[in-house]
Amino acid sequence: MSHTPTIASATSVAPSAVPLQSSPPFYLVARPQSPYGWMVMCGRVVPALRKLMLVEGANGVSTGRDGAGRPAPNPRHALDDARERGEVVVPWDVDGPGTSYIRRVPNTNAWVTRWETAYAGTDRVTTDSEGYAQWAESLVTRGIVPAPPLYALQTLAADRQAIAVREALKRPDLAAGAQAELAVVRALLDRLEPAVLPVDDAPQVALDGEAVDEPAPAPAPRRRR
Amino acid sequence: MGVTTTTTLSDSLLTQALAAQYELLVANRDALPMHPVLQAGYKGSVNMRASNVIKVPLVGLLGYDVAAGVGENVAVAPTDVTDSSYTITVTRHAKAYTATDLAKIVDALGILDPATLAADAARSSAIRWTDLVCDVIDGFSTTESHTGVDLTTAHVLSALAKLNALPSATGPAIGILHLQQWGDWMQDLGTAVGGALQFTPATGEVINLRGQAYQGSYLGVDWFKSGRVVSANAGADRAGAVMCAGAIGWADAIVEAVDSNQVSIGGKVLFERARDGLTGNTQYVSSSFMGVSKAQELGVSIISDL
Repeated sequence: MSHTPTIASATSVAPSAVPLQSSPPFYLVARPQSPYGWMVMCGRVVPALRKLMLVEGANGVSTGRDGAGRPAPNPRHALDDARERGEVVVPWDVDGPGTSYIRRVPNTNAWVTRWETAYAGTDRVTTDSEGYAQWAESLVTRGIVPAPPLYALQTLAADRQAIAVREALKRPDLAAGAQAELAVVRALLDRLEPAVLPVDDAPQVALDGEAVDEPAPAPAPRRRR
Repeated sequence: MGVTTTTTLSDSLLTQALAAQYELLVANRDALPMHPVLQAGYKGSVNMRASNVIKVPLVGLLGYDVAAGVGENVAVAPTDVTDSSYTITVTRHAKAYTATDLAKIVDALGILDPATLAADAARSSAIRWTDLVCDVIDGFSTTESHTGVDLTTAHVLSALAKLNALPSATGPAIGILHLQQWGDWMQDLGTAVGGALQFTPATGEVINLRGQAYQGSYLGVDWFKSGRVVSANAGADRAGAVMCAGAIGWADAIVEAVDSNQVSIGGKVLFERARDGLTGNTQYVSSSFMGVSKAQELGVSIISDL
């Protein structure tokens, strides 16, 4: 007895293409000096990279010509603006000549990072978050993005702590996640904080607002009555 | 004895007949409306300005530099007026459809009707403007970032606290979230044990004014959802934002129809017909000119799981 049903004819429709919404190519940009320029991803403190979209008309990107004389986005203004703000534009070939961290999904106008996978017949894209987090962390270890300043890590720790507290009653699952992220940031802070310079070099200021050369005498401790 | 069936009558029947109406393919069609926060960022058109780049001066007056205490009989040191600027580059955004005469003749549904294509041009231009806004709002220095975690009310409250902590972030505010972010937040808002903060969902009348993307008001912020909000962190997340007036600036060009084959739609979209009689083709081309830039740090990017 056959378990295969009988049908009138087999379909001749070709496998469907990837129905991804078009998205332009982009650079990834780090904001290492921003208090909010860092995040915890897969147990690592990594730069929170934003996309600088190569879209004519967005953030100063204009229309220029490529090497063959064809119209192409010209991001010069946008790149200059980003660098002027102290941001680090990660070059596409940061991992070596001929490599790129972005790629175009075949048969679409959608550009994605190389850690994203698209599938035929769906607009669902999956991400290799672990791979991306490793790579983002390597940007720091390789010296492409400066290490996070202490105040950024402190801001990140305060942020995670606040979320952990707020979610504790309503969403224990999220509170636990925030606690875990907080532990990662605190571990890094513990390693870095002893290296912070004391503020000995700060000018001593007299009461009239003018800086004085000699350090002001330390105030005598007040006694409680 | 023969029996007539749809199979035997194949020469007299169609294999498929068109429905009387067509349906639109699923797409992210909702464009952002001219919300006051966005309207405040309009820096005019580039018409007759000798450049497609508008430089917007940012001047430190009216409280940027404050007076300092000066001792008696001490000369006050002159202060330079602090200034900065940002630029908006206006570029062309265009689309074209070409149809053969035969295709137009047999078109039974009016798909290639010029009025239909003109309406398509107007909507496409508005969505393109939404795209440009969304391409910019993930770039605020202040972020509410929770990679891999669904957006919750706590995250939104934290983002609003950060927005309120930004100098000059006053007046009305607008929030723009990806569809997934919005859904995640609403699930949290609707199911978690809540506080006393009231979400005011959009009513029909307001949706008529602000469009389908408008979702409602929460803590004085008008919230919109859009599928055009860009991804972040290698596609793991989406990057929406909440912002006040002055966060983004934009400019455009006014277009005019100069012959009978052109129509100016609202002064913003030039829709034209170009005829190639040799091939029997008609082209319908639409062009609009606009640019959007991040202006000042008056917004907070909201990054959460996709």
